[in-house]
Amino acid sequence: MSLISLPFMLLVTASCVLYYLAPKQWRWCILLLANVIFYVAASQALIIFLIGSILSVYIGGLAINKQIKLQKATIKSLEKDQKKAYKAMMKKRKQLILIVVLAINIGILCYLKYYGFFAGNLNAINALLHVNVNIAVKKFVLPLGISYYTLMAISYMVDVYRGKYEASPQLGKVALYLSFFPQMTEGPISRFDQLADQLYAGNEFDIIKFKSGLYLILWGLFKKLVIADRAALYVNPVFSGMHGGFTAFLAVALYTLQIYAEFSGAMDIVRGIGYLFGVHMEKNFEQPFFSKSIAEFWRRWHRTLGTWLKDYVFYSISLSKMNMNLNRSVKKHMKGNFGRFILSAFPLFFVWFFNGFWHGASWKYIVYGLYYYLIMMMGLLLAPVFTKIKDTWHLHEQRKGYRLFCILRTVLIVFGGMLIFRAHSLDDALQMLLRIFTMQETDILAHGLTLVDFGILIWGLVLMFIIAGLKERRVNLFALFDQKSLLLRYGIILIIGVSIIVFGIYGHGYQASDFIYGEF
Amino acid sequence: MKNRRKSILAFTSFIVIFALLLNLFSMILIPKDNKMSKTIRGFYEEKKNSLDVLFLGDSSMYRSIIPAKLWKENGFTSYALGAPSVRTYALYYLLEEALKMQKPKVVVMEVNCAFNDHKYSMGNKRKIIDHMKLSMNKINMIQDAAFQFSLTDKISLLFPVFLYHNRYNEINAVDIAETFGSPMNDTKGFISSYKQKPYKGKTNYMRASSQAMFDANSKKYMDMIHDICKKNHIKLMLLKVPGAKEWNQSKKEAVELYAKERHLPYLDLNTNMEKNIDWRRDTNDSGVHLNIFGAEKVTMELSQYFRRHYRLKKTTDQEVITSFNKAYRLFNEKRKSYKRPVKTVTI
Repeated sequence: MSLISLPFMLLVTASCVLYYLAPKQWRWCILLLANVIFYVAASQALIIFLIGSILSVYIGGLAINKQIKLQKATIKSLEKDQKKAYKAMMKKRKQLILIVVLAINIGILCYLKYYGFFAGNLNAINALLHVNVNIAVKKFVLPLGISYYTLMAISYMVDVYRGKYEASPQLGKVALYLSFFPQMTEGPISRFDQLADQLYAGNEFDIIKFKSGLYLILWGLFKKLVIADRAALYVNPVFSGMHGGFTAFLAVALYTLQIYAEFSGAMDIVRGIGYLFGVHMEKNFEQPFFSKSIAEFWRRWHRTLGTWLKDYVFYSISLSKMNMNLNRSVKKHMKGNFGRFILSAFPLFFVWFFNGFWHGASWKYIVYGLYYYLIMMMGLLLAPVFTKIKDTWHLHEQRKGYRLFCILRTVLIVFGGMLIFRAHSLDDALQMLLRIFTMQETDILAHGLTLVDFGILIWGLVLMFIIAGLKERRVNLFALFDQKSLLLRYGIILIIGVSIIVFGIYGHGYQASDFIYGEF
Repeated sequence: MKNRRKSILAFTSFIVIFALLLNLFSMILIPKDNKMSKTIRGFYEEKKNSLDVLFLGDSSMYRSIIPAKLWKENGFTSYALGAPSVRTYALYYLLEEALKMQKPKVVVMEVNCAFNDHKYSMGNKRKIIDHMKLSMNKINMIQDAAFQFSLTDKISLLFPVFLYHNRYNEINAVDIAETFGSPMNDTKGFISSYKQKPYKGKTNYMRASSQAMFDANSKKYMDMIHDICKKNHIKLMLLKVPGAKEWNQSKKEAVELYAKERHLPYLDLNTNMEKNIDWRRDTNDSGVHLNIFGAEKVTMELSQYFRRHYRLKKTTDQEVITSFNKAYRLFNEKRKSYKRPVKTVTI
């Protein structure tokens, strides 16, 4: 059940009506029912894995809670020496619970999503070593949203373990948090303390939030159907063929815009649906194409994944014993920029490795993650050189020209990443990159898009970037829009709505495109 | 209170404008270059209350009856309003639509559609509904369970822009020009074929009897057609044009019984002009449909039948006379140019 399908829209409408008709204390049940209907329709019996995750973190969370309470109650009566030993023992107990629950959740994800990858690579190693062992390479149908809800389950358990909040004694609350139906397809990767209370509360009808939700849904549909899916009409055939030159470069550029329009459009729809129920969800994008560096780009692109990796991979590794020892050793033997580089390089390697690996069970995705890692590490290593160049050439960071240069540089690096991401294999990506520079091909009208299509695409992109520019200037678009006259507001909604219906890529004559991030 | 009323009014206006815009884009984007679209769209262009006789039915009807020739022979105006594989329930709504603009004295229903047992495809349903103007009748038609439309179908039938939106790339001058009105249909619904493909089956097909049953819904909607005709003081007549492949004695008897029970005239040209139709020459597809030569014979037979049974006065409206004279002139020119068949297949 896609986010843009009629059954999904009907489910949203029906659950929204029932939600506000139901007594406040039962509203969360309507949401839970909608989650179950959605999930069963999308993944049928595979709901068992979601139920497994919910039960594991619910029980695990309560078990950690119990240990924390026991520790609090017992520790007061202990002597100072005993306290330390008791704390260590309790920490181990909590760790054990955490490890068991994480092992269940990560184990299910790894088995279903990465089994084929590991088996294939082990077979390749066996073949290299002439070991006559061949593991069957199986591919499983993934339960919808497993990559998203597993990360949410991990964050819940780790936060409870770290004492950020107490585990919830309400199973319904945990179930709602992990299964909230709009976010199952593409995220965002929400946190329990941001989302669960809102879902469980039974929100009052708020006309401002409701209207904002409708605007967001409409805008999301525009980005997905008019921009992203139209760009895909050009991108797909060019990436499938042996094209080069400007034709291929345009495909890479359009794919970057396609994935942005599609993913951010999906997030607008998801957040819009959230607002219909009075629920605020985290933003996943913050005008990434205004970034002046790759680090900034990743703070603005798929933000909930970035912050998740920061909180649960970067910090976990940074605070690990091994990293602490490395820190001490580096501080002792290396000074200056190189020392700082080494200190960042170790934990960041894992962050970018997991970033790539999360996207898919393939070396292509690992290289995709490590591509950004390499760029950032090079930037860090060469920072003194860049500073020197800037000083020599009197380049001021605040100057418009320099800022524009930085933005363009970032965009070109992102194009490189997207080329790896979209190509069928690493070899294909490399071949296409070579063809961009070695072939002369400019026939952009021979690959699925007519001149009219290009016109519509450019109009859509201009509109998208005007809105992004306004957001970048911290303009509150909802407030601005609501201040306008009724005639203007309805006029704009009519233009966007009719544009989606007339110029949207859907239905007969087009192949329906799935959400790219829905496959992860 | 005043603000609330204003908001409700604004929202209602917004919904109405939105629907009107969707209808406008639907009208622009619907493909208009096929024969069936000309039949339905052209019907709307006929002068109000100008038609004496309305023929309803499936392809066997509109390939057999030449309104222009009937005009020439008898001086009454008529229109062959039909669609391929049409069912009686679709004809009912088509008649409702027609009666908004016309007050025919006689409605002739070709009864082959009451026995259509092959699939009524979405494409064939659309050949009628897409070209009907948005109205309560069209909405009722889309809602009618007999058509078995899904929710998605209903939405795209109400606003065809949802189906045809991908045509924005191929919009041409015809699409724009015909958005608010099509040219008159000079064939008055008749669709001709000059091909000859002989029927190779038994020539005594009417004597070979087999089980014949009205389609599910057929009787119900035929009765409904009968009721509207009665209500509007229109004479209803049942007709079966020659059809060697699809017609037989049992079907004829079933219709006869139906007509007798309701005191309706029934003319079966399969028996009435059995010897007149040459199944080697007069069909274009081995006996399913008649070609121009067969159609001329049927039209002449009908002409005589109408002369005998109905007293229809010739119109004095110059605009209508000019329109039907033009229709006959064009028919005749085309007919003359095809005097000798392009290709004759012999058995």
